[in-house]
Amino acid sequence: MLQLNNVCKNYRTTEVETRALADISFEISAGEFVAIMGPSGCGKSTLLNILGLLDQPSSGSYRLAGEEVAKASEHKLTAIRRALIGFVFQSFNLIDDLTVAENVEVALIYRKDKSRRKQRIAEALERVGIAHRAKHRPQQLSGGQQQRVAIARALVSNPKLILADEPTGNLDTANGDAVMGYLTGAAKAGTTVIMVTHSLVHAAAAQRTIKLLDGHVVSETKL
Amino acid sequence: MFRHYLTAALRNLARNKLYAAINIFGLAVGFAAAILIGLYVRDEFSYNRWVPGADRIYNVYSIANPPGRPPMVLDTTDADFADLLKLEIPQIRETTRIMPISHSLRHGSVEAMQKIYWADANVFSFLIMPVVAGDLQSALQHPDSIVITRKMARKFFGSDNPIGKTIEIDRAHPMQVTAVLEDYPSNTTLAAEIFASGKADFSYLADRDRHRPSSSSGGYEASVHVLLRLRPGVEPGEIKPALESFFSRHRKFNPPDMIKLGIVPLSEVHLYPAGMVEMMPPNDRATVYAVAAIGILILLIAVFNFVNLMTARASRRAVEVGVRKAAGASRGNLVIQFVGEAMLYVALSMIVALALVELLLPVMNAFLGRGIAFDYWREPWILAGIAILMMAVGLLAGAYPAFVLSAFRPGVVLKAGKAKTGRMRGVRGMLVVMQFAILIGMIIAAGVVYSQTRFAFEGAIRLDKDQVLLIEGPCHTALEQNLRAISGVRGVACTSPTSLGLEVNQTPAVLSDGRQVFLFRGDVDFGLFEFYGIKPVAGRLFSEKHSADAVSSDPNAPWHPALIINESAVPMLGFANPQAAIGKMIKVTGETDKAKPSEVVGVVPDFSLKSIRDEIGPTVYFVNPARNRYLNVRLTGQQIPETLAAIDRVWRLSGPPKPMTRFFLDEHMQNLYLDMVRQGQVFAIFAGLAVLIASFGLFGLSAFTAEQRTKEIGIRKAMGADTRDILHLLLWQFAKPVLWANLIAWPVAGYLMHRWLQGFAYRIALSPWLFLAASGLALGIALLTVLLHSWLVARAKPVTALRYE
Ligand SMILES: Nc1ncnc2c1ncn2[C@@H]1O[C@H](COP(=O)(O)OP(=O)(O)O)[C@@H](O)[C@H]1O
Ligand SMILES: [Mg+2]
Repeated sequence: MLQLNNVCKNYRTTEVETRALADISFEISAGEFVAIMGPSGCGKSTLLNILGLLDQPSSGSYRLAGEEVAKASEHKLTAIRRALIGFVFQSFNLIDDLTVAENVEVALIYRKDKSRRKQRIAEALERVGIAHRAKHRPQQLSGGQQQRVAIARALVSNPKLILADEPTGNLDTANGDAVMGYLTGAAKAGTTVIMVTHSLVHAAAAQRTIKLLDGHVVSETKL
Repeated sequence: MFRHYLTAALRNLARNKLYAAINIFGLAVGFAAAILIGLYVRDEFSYNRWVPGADRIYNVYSIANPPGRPPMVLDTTDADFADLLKLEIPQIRETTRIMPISHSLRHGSVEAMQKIYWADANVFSFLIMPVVAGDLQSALQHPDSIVITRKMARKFFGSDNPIGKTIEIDRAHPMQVTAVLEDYPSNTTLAAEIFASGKADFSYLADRDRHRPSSSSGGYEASVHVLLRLRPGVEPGEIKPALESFFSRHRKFNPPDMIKLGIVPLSEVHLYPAGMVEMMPPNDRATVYAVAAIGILILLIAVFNFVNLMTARASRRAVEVGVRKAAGASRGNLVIQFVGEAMLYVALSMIVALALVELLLPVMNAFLGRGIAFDYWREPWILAGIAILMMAVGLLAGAYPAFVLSAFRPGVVLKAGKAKTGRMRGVRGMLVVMQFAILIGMIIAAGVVYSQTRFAFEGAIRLDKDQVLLIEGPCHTALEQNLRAISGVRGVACTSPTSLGLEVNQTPAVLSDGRQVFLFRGDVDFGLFEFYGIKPVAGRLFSEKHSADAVSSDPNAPWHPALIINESAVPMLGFANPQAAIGKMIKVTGETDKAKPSEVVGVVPDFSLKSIRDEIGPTVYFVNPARNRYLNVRLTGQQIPETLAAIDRVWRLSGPPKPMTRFFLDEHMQNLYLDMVRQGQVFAIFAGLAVLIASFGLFGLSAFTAEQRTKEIGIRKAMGADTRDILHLLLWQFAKPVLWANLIAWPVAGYLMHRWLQGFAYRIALSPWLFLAASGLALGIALLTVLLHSWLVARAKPVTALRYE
């Protein structure tokens, strides 16, 4: 599915240069469920953003679905994002002004994917058990409910790759377990899932764990 | 506490420099425009008020109501009426007369044509004006007395005090300067800067007094301003009936009440219609109100803007509000803080605005030919007005966000990190819609005024005005031939002022069935129609080959010249079509009691040099060289200065012994439509200002919105939106209010401009394209303004957007 080769990411501010990622190389094959762990500030989100084409590496190579994308144009990146990727964020990132159903729809409108849109949204909401709240605004929901909406949004377009950045970080155990359930289900159905987490329990659900420290891969465990 | 708020406010201002600059400057432009317009409007209502008691001095008007045609107002009446009015209406205490006529004046080598007010000796007990030298009360006692302004004194004598010196009128009559007036302020309706004694034997006023018309006379010459004062305690309404019936007792007209007299105080003459203007051109009250309304609208746009930006900004400070509340601030404390901050902005705007007014007032004065002063430190009510305005705007801009924000429970605000500002956004949206409605309306108004002006200059004029020079003067053959001999002159024709609508003369006419109608009368000379390229619609033009065409120069000969009528007269005279009028007989009775029925020999299209405000009206033309007062000279258009010099030479050799008054027809039209051109310019300037202010506001708002929607944009991009999608999203957000604004702007502007056009006898049709263009322009401006910020956020990498939290 994807390969990283010597990927580096530097952030340059006026005074200091931070090396967020240093020589990261690994490969993830299609259908894998991978957990990324590491202390705060070690570069997990940066890595996930690069994997999700929201950001680009400073150097190194990134091949996604057989294409080199490390230096690809914005236009190209958008096209690949549309075709392949779904996101789940720690802070849910729902759009306040849109209803639950409309938030899920956002994942479809830019894919110009018009077929059975209503039905697919309803199914996705059904899958995460939030269908009865379709007309509510995100602010009217609890954190757990909001994250279910975010998951529905990630699933609705049937992406090949789901990237989840601490999806359970802001949730209690019960809700966190539910979210893990949906991600595991997606992985079982053949979607590649890459998830950042601090929870060893949740990491255990993955087939493989990559540990980061100060921008380096320090260990990889495979179940 | 206060110092704490002030530092907080100043830091906030310093942190958001661009935003603060936009906000302050936008409001300042609005304030400045409103102040300038306020000064202009006040000046319009101040006309003649510098004359003590101007509101108790009345000018007598003649209001003519020719049957079947719109009424005509004249700010003059006949000379003998002054005495008669005082005699018959006991409530009138005193009257005086002013008769404006142009003469040549000469002192030494300085000679010029100048308008003179021939006046009764008591005129200065009405017009009590400041003097440089001399005593006004006795100044016009002697028949050879003349009173001039300082400007005239400098022009003819090169000194401010030429008392006792002599000036010659028409190169024949020496007059002695008895007093020098201070120059008039610009808000005057007095059109002459010279007053001469009406007792002077050669004056037309004295002449009129020697030949008083009898009460059975059908002649009425509205040529003097009669001013009157009422007895103490008498209200003008009390003498209205007496005035209205006055005319029929002293002239025999058919119908008897065709002319009624009325009075208007000097202080209101400026905004009162005067058909044939003898005083200074008046202004139209509706126009002044329209300008005042524009001022208010611009102020509204600026205030909406300001409130909008302040509100938008305030919603970002929800956390600050939460923290302050948690720390014990009461709602009152917060309201004071926000209102105080708004006041600070308003005060800074007002300082900038006052500086702008100081800068622009001289420009405006030059443009309008006025001397408006802005001495706000000397006029407490201006200061008070400015203070009230500042308070109101500050309260509006500060209170709304303060109340909305301070009503949140701190816990909610702190948890969400921002306030739910949906309600504020609704209000903001409405304000933007209003702003653009006003803006679009102004653009439409400017467009309509511009099109109507173009129409007045080009579309409506039905005669060939190219390179035509008009010379005021007699039309004798030698002069005509000498002019024609000049190489740069293509043609010459003579006419009276009436045929071109430069003056208006009406005449009764009796049809073959005995019916009497009123027609406009145009005295022409042979060749005038040909000169202006006017072709007959039926019949023929006048020709010297037909000996009966001209009015005979023998006063005892029968009076029945051949007639040409215009198209408007055809139905009025009862003819089915122009052809049917040819050969019919009409008796034009106004000129003489020797009139006999005349034959209609031709019909011409309607044409006139009158303003398109006035209907050309049914007109009858006949050849009457005795009334010639204008030479029409068409130039070839090459070597114009040389040709003009040659014309001046011919005038000195074979013209009358006085300076020549000549003007190009184009200049005449410029003067005729000066008010309209000005209105168009005023609308354009203010529409421009409105655009500027609204753009400022939108620019600020777009920066704010783009920032506020950053997270959403990040999400959408993560979901696969590209730059184009985001740009559409943002631009549509700003396009929407502009589109809504059309719903308000179109009907309102359409109705108002329709009303405005009703003031013209000849007018353009309101074109839907103009409305679409105005909206398109507003939309274009709006989108261009917000494009920068929208483009910047739309292009940003999604990760930057998502990090914003
Ligand atoms: N936009 C940025 N500019 C500068 N430094 C950044 C930026 N984003 C992340 N960093 C730095 O890069 C490092 C890794 O950050 P991040 O990937 O967010 O860590 P994690 O998600 O593992 O907590 C941190 O030291 C952080 O300060
Ligand atoms: Mg992180």
